[in-house]
Amino acid sequence: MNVVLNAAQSVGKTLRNSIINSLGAIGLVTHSASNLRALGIQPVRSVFFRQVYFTGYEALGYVTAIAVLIGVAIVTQVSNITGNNVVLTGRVLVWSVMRELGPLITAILVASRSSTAITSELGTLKVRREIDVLESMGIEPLDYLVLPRILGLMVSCLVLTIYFQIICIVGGFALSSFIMGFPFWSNLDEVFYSLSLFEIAISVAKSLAFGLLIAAVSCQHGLGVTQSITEIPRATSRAVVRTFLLLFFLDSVVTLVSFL
Amino acid sequence: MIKLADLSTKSLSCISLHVPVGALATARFTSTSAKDEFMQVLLGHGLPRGGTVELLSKDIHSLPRAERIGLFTDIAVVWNHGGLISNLKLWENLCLPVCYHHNVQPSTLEEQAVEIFHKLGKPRKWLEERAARLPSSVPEHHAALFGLARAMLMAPGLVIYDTILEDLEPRTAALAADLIVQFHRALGNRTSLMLCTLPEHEASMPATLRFVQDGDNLIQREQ
Repeated sequence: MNVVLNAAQSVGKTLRNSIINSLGAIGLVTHSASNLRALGIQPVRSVFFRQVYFTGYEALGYVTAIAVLIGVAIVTQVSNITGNNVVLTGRVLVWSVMRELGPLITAILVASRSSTAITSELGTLKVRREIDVLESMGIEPLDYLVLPRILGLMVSCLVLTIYFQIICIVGGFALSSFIMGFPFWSNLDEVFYSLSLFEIAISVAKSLAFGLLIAAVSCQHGLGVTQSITEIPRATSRAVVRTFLLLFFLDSVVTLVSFL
Repeated sequence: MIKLADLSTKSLSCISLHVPVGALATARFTSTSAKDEFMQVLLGHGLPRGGTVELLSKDIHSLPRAERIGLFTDIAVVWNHGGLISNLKLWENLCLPVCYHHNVQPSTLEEQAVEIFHKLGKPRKWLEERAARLPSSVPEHHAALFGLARAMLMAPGLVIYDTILEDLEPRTAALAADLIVQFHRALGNRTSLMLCTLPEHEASMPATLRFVQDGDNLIQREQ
């Protein structure tokens, strides 16, 4: 009986924390959306550019490598099943990369780097009472710390997703044509014929939503640290796990709504 | 400008004091913990057990959060450890509040900053050598000087100094005390409150009002 009660309590506590965290993250997004003009302030803009540099520019190297490898894997698998059917291989690559893998894998890569960085950075500021210092300078911490990070991650996610998709498709075809003798240019032609405006719009919407989600959850967990420095690693790992869960959940919902 | 009515914290009770516009006041505490508690409540970061705190004629604890933060555009707090933001370079820390509230480029503040540090006995080269460093790479008493210079660049109407002189080397402390007095007098109606725990630092301020902790109370001492 005690075991059942403890399990129920644990589930209840987890559920309550999840609701509180979700409401907190929604609150941060709402605040940022209603204070967009703060981006016109020089130090806020500076944090925004720094975030784009860290999340977007510095991730280009390994996004390139992963995009090429995934492109090669998809082309190899599909051509193996379809027996070197150039048209079908091209379509499957475009559909899978544009609709699903591009936004999702980019978001996972962004979350694995930036979610941990944002949570630990904000957690440290909170523990060292530097949030209080910002307030005592008349600076709204949410405008200065959260807004530029949310916008920075949204922009970075969008740009990296487009970059990932281009590299994945072009790189996949290039390497496959080199290794398997696929006609490179006719494959690329297929890409343009397979793409629709709707698919591009969904891909853009997904990447923006993923960037927003990663930033909001990470900021919420970072600012949720209260007193001790030992809370920071726990908050960081919780932020990453919740971000991944929510990313997959959101991706499934958008895919179901858009393509079913 | 600063008005406390029957203010009680964990270790202080029923403090009533008034620092009028243009006054230079000191408040000496018997312990750092009592001073820290007082500071938290004074800035609205902690709730008092009772009583009210008015800064710039506004009850700090009854204001909505956004309005309370907005009030600090004309109040500067000089923390004893500098109060610098750890992920910003020292130069960025120095310019942050001015750039934030007046939307100016940091480069426009360079000459003013050099002049402040010159008065603290630190030449331009000293500042340039440290400007690109993070706060963790300089000793706390240097960080305190950057905190002091940051407050001065803000040119506020009310300045609260948190035991700023106590960790400085004697010569720098003397220069800082002079600069604080000059800064106070530069604007006719500037109000300054210096919190301290050591009598010698209290004595270094030509204060018009002096408050001293006596047991759990803060009493005004006759000049």
